[in-house]
Amino acid sequence: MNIISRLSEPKPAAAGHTAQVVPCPAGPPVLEARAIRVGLAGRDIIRDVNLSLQPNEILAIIGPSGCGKSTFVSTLNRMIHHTLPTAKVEGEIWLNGGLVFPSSASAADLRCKVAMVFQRPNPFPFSIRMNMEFALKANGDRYRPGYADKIEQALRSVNLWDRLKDRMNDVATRLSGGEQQRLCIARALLSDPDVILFDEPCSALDPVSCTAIETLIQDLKQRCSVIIVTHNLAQARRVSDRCAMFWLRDGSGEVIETGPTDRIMTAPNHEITRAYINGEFC
Amino acid sequence: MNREFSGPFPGAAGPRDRSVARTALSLEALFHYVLAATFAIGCAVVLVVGFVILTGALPVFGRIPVLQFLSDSDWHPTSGLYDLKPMLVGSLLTSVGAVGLATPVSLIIAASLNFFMSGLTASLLRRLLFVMAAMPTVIFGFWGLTQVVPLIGKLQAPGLSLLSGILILALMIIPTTTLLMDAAFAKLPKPLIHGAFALGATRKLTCFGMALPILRRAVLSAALLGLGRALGETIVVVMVTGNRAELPLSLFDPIRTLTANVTLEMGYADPLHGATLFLSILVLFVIATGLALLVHALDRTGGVSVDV
Amino acid sequence: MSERRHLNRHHRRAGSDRMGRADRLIYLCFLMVVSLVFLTYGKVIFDIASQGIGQINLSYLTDAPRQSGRAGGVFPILVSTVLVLAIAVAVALPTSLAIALYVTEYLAQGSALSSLFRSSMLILASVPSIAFGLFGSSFFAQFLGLGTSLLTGGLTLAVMIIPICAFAFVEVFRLLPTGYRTGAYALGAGKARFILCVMIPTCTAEIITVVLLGTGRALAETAALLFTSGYSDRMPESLLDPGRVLSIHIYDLAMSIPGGDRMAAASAVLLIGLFLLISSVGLYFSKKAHP
Ligand SMILES: Nc1ncnc2c1ncn2[C@@H]1O[C@H](COP(=O)(O)OP(=O)(O)O)[C@@H](O)[C@H]1O
Ligand SMILES: [Mg+2]
Repeated sequence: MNIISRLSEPKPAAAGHTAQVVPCPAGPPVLEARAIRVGLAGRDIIRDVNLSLQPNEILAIIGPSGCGKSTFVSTLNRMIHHTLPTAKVEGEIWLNGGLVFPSSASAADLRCKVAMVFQRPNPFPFSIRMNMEFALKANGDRYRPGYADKIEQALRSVNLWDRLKDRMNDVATRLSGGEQQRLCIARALLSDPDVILFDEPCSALDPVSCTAIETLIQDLKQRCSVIIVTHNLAQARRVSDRCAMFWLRDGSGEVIETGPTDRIMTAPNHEITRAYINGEFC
Repeated sequence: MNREFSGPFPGAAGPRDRSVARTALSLEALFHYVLAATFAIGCAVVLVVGFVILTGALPVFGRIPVLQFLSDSDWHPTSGLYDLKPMLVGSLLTSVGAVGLATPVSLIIAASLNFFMSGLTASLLRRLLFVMAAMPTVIFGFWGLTQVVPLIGKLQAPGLSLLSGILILALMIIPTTTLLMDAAFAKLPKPLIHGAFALGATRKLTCFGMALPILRRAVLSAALLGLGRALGETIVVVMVTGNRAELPLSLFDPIRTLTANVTLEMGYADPLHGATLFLSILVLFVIATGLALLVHALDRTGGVSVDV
Repeated sequence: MSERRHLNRHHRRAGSDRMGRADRLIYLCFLMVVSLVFLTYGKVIFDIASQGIGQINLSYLTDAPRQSGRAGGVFPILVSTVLVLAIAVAVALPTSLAIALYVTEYLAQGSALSSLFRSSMLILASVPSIAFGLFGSSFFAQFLGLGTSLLTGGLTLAVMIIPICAFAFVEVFRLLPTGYRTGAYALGAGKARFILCVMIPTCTAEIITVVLLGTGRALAETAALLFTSGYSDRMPESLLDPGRVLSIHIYDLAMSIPGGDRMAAASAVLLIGLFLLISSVGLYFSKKAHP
C-alpha cells in the first residue's frame, strides 16, 4: 500500500471531534490488541492482554516496573522484533479494522501509522534538519520540495519551530533533553500517525520539560490517539482519559483493570489497583 | 619480657612483617624497572627502524638530485638511470584501485551482516572473514598467479597486469576492511537503530540514511587502513603484476610497484642502487605513518558521540 | 477452523521482523555480492587443495627437497619455519607483554608516555613488512653481524609482531574489571604481586589468543623474510644458518621454478593447514576467554 496516498486520506475519526466530551467514546476502536502473549526463554513476559484504543483517546498504561508495559507497547508496532528479537509473540493486533499482526505486510508501513517515542530521547547525532528529513524519507516521501513545509509544520506543533528555525543545521544531540524529546515527537508526527506510543516519555526529563511534553500530548489528542506508559500516577491522572493497570501475576504481566481515569483513580474495582493508587506498596 | 611491651602490638609479627615488606618492595621495584626498560626499548624500536631505513637511503642524497627520480627517462640503475615514476604510479594505481573496489564491497558485506542477515549467519561469516583477514598473502598471490592471471591472459596477453594486481589485492584487503566497518556498525547505540525502525524506516534507509552518515569517519578510516595494507603489500604484487618498470597504458599492462622493485633488485644492488631502494621504502614508510596518524586522528574524533 | 490455520501460518512467518519489498530487493543484490566474495574465497582454498593435496604424504613431510623443490619433501623447510616462529614468539611475547603491562598498570591513561606508546605502536603496526625486511637485513644481519640466518629472520618477525601483540594485550588488560585492581590493592598487594598473581592467571586464555594471533601473523609473512632468513632449502645446523620458510618456498616454486606449481600448491596446503590450526586454536581460546 502506498503510504503517501494513505497520508492524504481524510481521517474520519479526527474530523469534527475537536471537543471530546465523552471520556470513553463508543464506536470502532483505532487499535485493538487481542489475547497478546509474549514468550521469552520459556516464560511469558505478558499473557492474555486485551486492550483497545478509541479514536482521539489517551490511554495510560500504569503498573510497577518489570511487569511488561514496554514489552506490550512494543508489540503494537512490532518493534518488539528489534527490541527483543528472540521473543515469541502471539495474539492479534487490529488497526482501523485491518489485521496488522500477524500479517505478512511490511512492519515499516505499520510503524508509520503507529509511531513510537522512547523513554530516553534518541535523536540521531546529525543535524536537526537531517533528523526530520530522515523521518520523511522513512515515510516514503520522495517529494523533496515539500520537505521544508512539512518540517516547519511538525516543529510548530511541538512548539520548537521558533526556537530552532535558525539552528536547523545544529547537531540534534546538542539540544537539551526536553528539546530532544520534543524533536523526537515532531519526527514521529511527520508520518501523520493514527496512534503514538509513548514509553515513559518523561522519566528522563526535568519537571519543566515534563510539563511541556504533557501539554503536547494533550494537544495531540486532536489529531490521533495516544498510549502513554507511565510510572507517575499524577501524570496519568493529568493527561489520560482511560487507564489500564498492568500487574505481575505468576511472573507474567497481565491487565488487571481498565476503566476511565477518573474512576480508576477514585474508585478502582480491583484490590491491587486500589492499593497501588494509594501507594500502599511503597 | 622487655621486648614484649615495646610496641603497641605485642608479639613477633612486627619484625617479620617488615622483612616481607622489604623483599616485596624490591620485587616491586625490580618489576617496575624491567617493565619500564622494555617499554622504553619498544618505543625506541620505531626510531631505530626509521633510522636504519633513513641511513640506508642516505647515500642517495648528494649523489642523485631528488627530482631526477621523477625526470629520468628509464629505470636502469646499472646505467645510472633512476626513474621511479613507473613504480610510484604502479604502487598508487594498484592500491587505490584495490581500495576503490574493496570499499564498496566491504560496505555491502558489513551492511548485510548488521542489518539484513540473521545473527547466526552473520556470526558464521564474521568468523570466516576473521580467518581470511590473516590468511598468508602468498596464498592469494599463488592463487592469482595460477588462476586469475591465465584468465586475464585470455582476454589480453600477458595476463600479468595492473588489473590482476587490483583484483587480488582487493580480495586480500576485503576481510580487513569489512571487519573494521562491521566493528563500527556494531558500536552504533541500539536506541538509534530502534529509533530509526520506529519511524518506519526500511533496513536500507536505516543503514544508509542513518548508520552510514554517523559512521562515515569510521568507514573512511577502514578504507585508509586498507590502503595502507595494499600499499605495503609485496608478495602478491610481485607474483601477479608482471613487474615491468614502465608506465601502464591500460588495465591489462604489466606494472611494477615500489615494494616489488625492492624485492626483485635488493639481492644484487650496488650501494647507490641499494640506497635508491631504501629511499623508495622510506617513501612508503612516510606514507604509511601519515595514513596511520590520519586514522588515529579520525578515530579519536570519529567515535559515535551520542549520549543515549 | 480454516481461518485459524491461516493465522497460524502467518504467525510463523511473522516471527521476526520481515523485510519489505524494497529491502528484500536490495538484500538480494547484496547477497549476490556477498556470495561472490565468499565463493571466491572458497574457490581459492578449493583450487589450492585440489592441486596440492595429492602430493602430500608422509615422505613429503619427512624428505628434503630435490631438484630445487620440484621433487622430494619439505622437512628442512618445516624445521626452519618452526624455528623462525619460535624465535619470533619467544622474543615478542615477553616484550609485548611487558610493554602492555607497563602501559596499563604503570602509566596514567592519556599521559604523554601512553600516547607516545600509542603512536609508536601505531606506526610500527602500519609499516609495510618489506620495510622490516630491509631493517632486519641491515640491522640484525649486517650491523649486529648475525648474517642471513634463522635468528635474523626470527628477530625481524619479532619486531614486526610486537606492536600487534602489545596493542592486543593492552586491550585485554583494559577490559579487566577495575574491581580486581581495587580489591587486590585494598588487600595490600603491590603492583607486581597483583600482575603476577591476579592479572596474568585470570587472563591466560586471552594471552594465549594474542600469542596465537601474533604467531599467525608471523607465519603469514613472506616479504620480511626474503632478505633476513634467506632462500637456502638445506637443513639448518644452527640458528645462525639460513633457512627457507614455507611461505618463501611457495613463492620461490611458483615464481622461479618452472613446473613447480604442483609442489607449490602442496606447500600452500601445508601453510593453510598450519595457519588454520593456529587460528582455530586461537578461536578456541578466545571463546574460552569470552564465553
Ligand atoms: N532483554 C531482555 N532479556 C530478557 N528479559 C527481558 C529483557 N527485557 C525485558 N525482559 C523481561 O521482560 C519483563 C518486562 O520488561 P518491560 O516490558 O521492560 O517492563 P516494564 O516496561 O513494565 O518495566 C521484565 O521482567 C524482564 O525480566
Ligand atoms: Mg519500561
